[in-house]
Amino acid sequence: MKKVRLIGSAAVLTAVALVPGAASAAFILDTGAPTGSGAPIILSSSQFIAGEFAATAGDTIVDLSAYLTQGVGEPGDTFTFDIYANSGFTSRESNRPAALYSATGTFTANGWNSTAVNWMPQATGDYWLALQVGAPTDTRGLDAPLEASAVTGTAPALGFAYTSTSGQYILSSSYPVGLEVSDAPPVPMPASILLLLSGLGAVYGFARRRGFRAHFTS
Amino acid sequence: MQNQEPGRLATRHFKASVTAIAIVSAIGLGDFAGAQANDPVIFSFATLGDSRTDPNKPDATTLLANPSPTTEGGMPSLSGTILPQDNMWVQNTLAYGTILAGIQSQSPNLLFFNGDMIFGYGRPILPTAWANGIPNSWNTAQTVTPDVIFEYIQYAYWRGMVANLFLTGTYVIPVPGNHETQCSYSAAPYSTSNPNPNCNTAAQGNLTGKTAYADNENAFRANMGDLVQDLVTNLRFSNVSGYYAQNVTGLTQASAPAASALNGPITGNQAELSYSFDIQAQSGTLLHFVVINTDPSGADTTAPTDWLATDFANAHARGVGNIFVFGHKAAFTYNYAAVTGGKVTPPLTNSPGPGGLDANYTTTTVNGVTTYGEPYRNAFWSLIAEYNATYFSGHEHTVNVSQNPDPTGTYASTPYQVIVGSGGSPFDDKLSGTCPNCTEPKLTNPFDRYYAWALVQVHQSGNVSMTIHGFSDQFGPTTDLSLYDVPTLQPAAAAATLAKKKAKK
Repeated sequence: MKKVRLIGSAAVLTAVALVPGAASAAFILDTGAPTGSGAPIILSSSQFIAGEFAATAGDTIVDLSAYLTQGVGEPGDTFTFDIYANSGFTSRESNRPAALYSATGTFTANGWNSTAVNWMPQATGDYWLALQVGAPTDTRGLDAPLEASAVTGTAPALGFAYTSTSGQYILSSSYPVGLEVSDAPPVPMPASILLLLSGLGAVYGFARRRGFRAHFTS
Repeated sequence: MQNQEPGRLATRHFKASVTAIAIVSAIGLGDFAGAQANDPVIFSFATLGDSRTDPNKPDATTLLANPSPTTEGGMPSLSGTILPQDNMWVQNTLAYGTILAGIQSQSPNLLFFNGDMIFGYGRPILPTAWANGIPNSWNTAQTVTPDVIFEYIQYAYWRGMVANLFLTGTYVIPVPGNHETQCSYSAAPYSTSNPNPNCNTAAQGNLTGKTAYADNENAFRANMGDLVQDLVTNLRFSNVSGYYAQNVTGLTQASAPAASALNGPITGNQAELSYSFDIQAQSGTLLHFVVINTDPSGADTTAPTDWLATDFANAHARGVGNIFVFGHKAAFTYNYAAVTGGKVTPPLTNSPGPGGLDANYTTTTVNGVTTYGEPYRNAFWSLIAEYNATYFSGHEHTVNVSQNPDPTGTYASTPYQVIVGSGGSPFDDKLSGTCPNCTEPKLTNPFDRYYAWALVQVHQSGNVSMTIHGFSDQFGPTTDLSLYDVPTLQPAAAAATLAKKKAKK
């Protein structure tokens, strides 16, 4: 019986290990929870916020997070996580290349507000994670507390920016906010999968020889 | 365990898994519920004042190094020139425009602008036939003084700046300031050596250098009166704000403040300069809004306290639970120079600065000892305390939030005074030294040189909260000036408190 449970557990762990990102997601942007003392910068339909990070082609971005507090907004307010290529990001809004990926974020409570996503960068390079608001009906304004410096956390941002009233992003290290981007490593190659399957087959054969099947069909 | 049937084992594992998920979910939900209570906003208003600049003395941080397009046009400087546009129409367009964009993103129902929307300070004397200021009654045989042109174009520019707010659900409520109602004999484009000939002598009623005139009040009505009258005519008020104004008063001379002991010796018509109305935000939440002219002709630097007493009592009788009052001059002057030992609080001042209603003081000397009193201000604030109202003002070009007790000691409450004279006018706390080698002054509060506005939100529970938003004189991003945020400006129980307002210390 113990062997049955052992084999079952091994199979579950193997399956879990095969799900991309479920067990091995890592931060490629992690500023940490803000600890700065400056006045929080406001995220609203008239002011957006962004942080820069590096990503590798073939990675899978699985989670986007922003550290926000309620401000004059409410739980349930929405905003978007938009990922832009670095090239052209600081252009005038009308000239800025379209976002490569967008996902809706929902403010639930003070702290990290996360959205599970599934996006693969097509090229290795620098990207911007932007927090943007479509209209005052999405939120009247959420607060983004400031980090103690522009270089904080386990995977510091490469840069920060906020929009002027014209909608154009202004680069500034004076207003760093809390952002996180998690990715999963590339999915296993076919050879790895074959090796794994052969191993599972060996385990199955061992179990069968020990009466595993008989036990379940008795 | 080893003797259990496999099916039952699987069932037990499933149950255990479900239990674990439930526990984890419960922890998560409990965390959410504990972290953030949802109390939806049912009504909100923004408020600020003082967007005009000064053509002779703009804040040095708003100067441009070289406005020529062929060189470094538009670069910030501490020694350049004022933007020609702002020199012509006397607004800090960048600061005020940025503020309006921020307000628009918050989508409040109302915006109360607490005076000094124009530089004004002239005496816009109109021909008698134009007394009501209606343009279509004018004809080419009549002439006007230069001050009319000077002030009317400033009004028009300001109205243009706020016009878009009406398209996005925010109705603008005007409050007169001293730059609208007073004439200063030496203010630009005049000077002490070339004074304004219409208000430069005692014979013309100007005893202190700055005096309110009926001509100026007429100009305010001519340029802002339509916004006030719409509270009754409702050509667009309810469509824009989403609510009907109720119980409107002060739109005629008969219902507006007149001379009395505590109104002061008012001489001019105060219709559309001091007025009030209700808004039923939701069942059980009746809000009362009051606009007062703190520089009426004949009674500069006063609040119409007798008129307010009647107005508040009537509102109370209607079941009003929350009272918000908007005037230009603060009741208690904020001493932004305190950190360096400066005093701007009247009557004992050692540095120049704008005085609030407390600048209107009396002196009594007995046996060589002089004592000071502020009868008008004290009576006004005692009334504010009696009804636990909130007073919003401008005049001082800074932002400050304070709680002040009843100076007469009659009522126990300590109402909030919110100064938001931070809409673009040159900061009162000046840069230190001579520009361009000037530096930021030592600040009493970190946001003394922030362009800022207040957002007041009325929640479903009846709680009233306030947040202050703004940006520095370096024109960075808009931030939440959380130092001044007040989670409970007026509590949900304000109605009950108001009902017991007579409870004294």
